[in-house]
Amino acid sequence: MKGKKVIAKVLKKIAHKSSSCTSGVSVYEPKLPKALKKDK
Amino acid sequence: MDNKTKVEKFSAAMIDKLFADEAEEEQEIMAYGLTVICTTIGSFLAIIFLSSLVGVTSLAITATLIASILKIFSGGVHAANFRNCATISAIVFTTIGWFSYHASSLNIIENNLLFLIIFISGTYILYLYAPADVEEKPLNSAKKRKKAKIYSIVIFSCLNLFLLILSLNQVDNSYVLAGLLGMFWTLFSMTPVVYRLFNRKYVRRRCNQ
Repeated sequence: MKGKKVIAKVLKKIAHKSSSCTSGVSVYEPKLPKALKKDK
Repeated sequence: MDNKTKVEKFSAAMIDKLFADEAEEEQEIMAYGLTVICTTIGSFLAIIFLSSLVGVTSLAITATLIASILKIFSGGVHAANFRNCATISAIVFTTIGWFSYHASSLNIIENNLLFLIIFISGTYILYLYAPADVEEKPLNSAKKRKKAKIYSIVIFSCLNLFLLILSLNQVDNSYVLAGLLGMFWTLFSMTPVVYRLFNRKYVRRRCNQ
């Protein structure tokens, strides 16, 4: 249960960090979810 | 119509299975995070696999890291799906690694002319096109666009300086050349020509818009 919480926290952190960058490092850019569009 | 790619569908399914009790919005954010991890690791593995077949893994990784650092700030074109992304990344960075390995004996970076050419042309490209975003992740705020442009020019200058210092300290020329060519690829990927080649929509936005 604790591990699941940590995974969720890490995934959310990566999503927020990635959405605030101009670009991801790979050549493919996944579509930004609506909830993160406000960050831009 | 559901226009999600396979990797996005996989991430969404994984998150749905593991975090069924979370709100839909939170699930979307986590699925996006998982997609970012999967595509980044997948691309790096594709680059390592192809470059190891040619025997230039360390050079390809050097070019990839330098190109990636610049791309985070400057932006650049993105492939329409993950398969194309991994294939293009593997081919481009393995080619850079292979070329750097063979061209280092030609002493083309000894006289620092290549540094000067890349620095001047790179600063001009960044001034014109940075930040180069894509439809999937548009950067609409004028303030943030201006900030990203300044950051990308600063990061580009720092990377140039770092590679110049390595070159002056007798570090193997092939690594310096791989780094320079990695940066050149990121700069090239920001131009409208490459957007057309990738069949992606290029939107010209100005910082003061």
